[in-house]
Amino acid sequence: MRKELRRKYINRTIAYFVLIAASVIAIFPIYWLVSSALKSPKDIWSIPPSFLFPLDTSHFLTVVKERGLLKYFSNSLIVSSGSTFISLILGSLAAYVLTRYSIKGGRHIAFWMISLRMMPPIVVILPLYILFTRLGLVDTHIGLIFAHITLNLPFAVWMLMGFFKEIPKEIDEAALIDGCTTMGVLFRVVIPLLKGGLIATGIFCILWSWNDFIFAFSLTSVEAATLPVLISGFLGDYVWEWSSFYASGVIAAAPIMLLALFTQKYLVRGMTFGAVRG
Amino acid sequence: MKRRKTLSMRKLTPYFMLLPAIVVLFFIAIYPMIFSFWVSLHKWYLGKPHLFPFVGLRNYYTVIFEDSIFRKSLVNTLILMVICIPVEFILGMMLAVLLNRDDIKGKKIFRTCFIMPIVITPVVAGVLWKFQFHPSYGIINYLLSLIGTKKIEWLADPRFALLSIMIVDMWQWTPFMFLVLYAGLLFLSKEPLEAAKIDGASEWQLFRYLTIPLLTPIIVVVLLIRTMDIIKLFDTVYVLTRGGPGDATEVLTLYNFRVGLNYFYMGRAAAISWIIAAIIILLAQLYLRILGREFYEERA
Repeated sequence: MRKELRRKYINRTIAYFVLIAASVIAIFPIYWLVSSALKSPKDIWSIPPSFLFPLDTSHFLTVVKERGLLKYFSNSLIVSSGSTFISLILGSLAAYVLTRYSIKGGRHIAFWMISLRMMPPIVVILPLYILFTRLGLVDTHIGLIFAHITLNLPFAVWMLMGFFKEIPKEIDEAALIDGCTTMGVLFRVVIPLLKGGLIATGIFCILWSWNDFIFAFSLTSVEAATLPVLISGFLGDYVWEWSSFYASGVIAAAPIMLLALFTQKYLVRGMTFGAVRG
Repeated sequence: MKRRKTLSMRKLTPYFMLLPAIVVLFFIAIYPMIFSFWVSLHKWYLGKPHLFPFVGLRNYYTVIFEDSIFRKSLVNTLILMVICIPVEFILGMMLAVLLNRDDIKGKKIFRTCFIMPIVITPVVAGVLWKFQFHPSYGIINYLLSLIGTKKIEWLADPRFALLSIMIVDMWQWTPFMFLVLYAGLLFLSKEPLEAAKIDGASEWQLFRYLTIPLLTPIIVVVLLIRTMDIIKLFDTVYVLTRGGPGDATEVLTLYNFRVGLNYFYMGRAAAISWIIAAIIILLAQLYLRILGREFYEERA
């Protein structure tokens, strides 16, 4: 019996050790990002890394002044909120119909949605680049918003279908009998019940759109470029502006990481297309 | 009369509600994809956009049989797939099982730590790691020097460049495997496990004969998602190596991007992207055959 207890104790210690080691590895680069953003250029290069260093916040000012960080930040904000907003509205209309009405080919539409979400972005990007050039949509907010919708809208429809299914049909039938119109039922009765689902879907759309690089990099250059495009630009072939990178890296990554931090419970469901409940 | 009108309106409303999503997706996704397929049947160099000769399947033939860089990028993507996914899966599963133990405290803190790599902007993560791979100033060579290893040129040495990509991918996506599998473990019903424990099953037996089979649907889903992600891999490679040195880290999506938007051979690029799409569809079919179609159809 004592032997078994001891074994249990050892197992537990090993488990803690592995988990702590893994979290340190997971967190370390993020610690590095934040601390380096606050180091003076000289301290950035010190090896082994210095843990106690004089704070230097000048890089944040530099990137705002010289690199127009605020413009990229607002571009990221406009594009991710725009594509999320449109995807949620069109997505909830479509998902509602697909779960509540037996429409001809409804099954195919649902299947088609999830297949579209699985498509590699590059398949859409090349033709969009050509079409956007012709329509003058390259390097515009609206162009990038629509480009992001190609993936966010199918995702929103698919996710929201799952959430709509959880709301019993009897609720809208009752509302219909009470004289509500179809749209009225959706917006006054069902949507309020669906708040959690909308938040979960929206957060994932924002996360994806904010972090996207390949669409933004291909379809924008200056005016509508988002933060990831700016950041990739710090690594020219010859010039490595590390201080500027760290400062803008913090500004790019912090909002989305904080958002994820506060909405952890929705993440798993979003990242697995609703297949796994978090 | 009026009653009939409202009735037919009511019947039509659902179609009106569905229409905007369908129309938008048609114009920004379906039509471009059809257009891209049509382009893939032509020779089209954007430097001379007025020349647009029809070449049939010639682009596909060239890419598959004559393009050595394409082949290299396909091989690299496959290598990433067969190494990263199993490693990430095993590590993620290990962490999930460990964190699921009853005697571990601070579960939320651990979980939060593991979420961070998944949600950080991939470009930022890539540049961060680029610094760590620096031969003289990076932390990796510093740690290795403590145990007496020589300096490694991580990103500049063709033997290590792909490994560097793998390290970053594993850092970023092992937590994803963990997070999903952990969520799956939390939702497993405890009863069969308790019953088997009373019957004297060892921990390994519990894991092998109960946990794994019960988790199978979730396992298939994460593996499928990760497989697709590796085919779409772009950000990290672009930031870390741009496919170099030489073509040592060239991967499918990056090469496709380069042919289309750097060299402007649109016909060939379109052909490559359809080959990538075909690979994804094939792999998805494979996984779904294992999982059964219910996952897709339960909702429709």
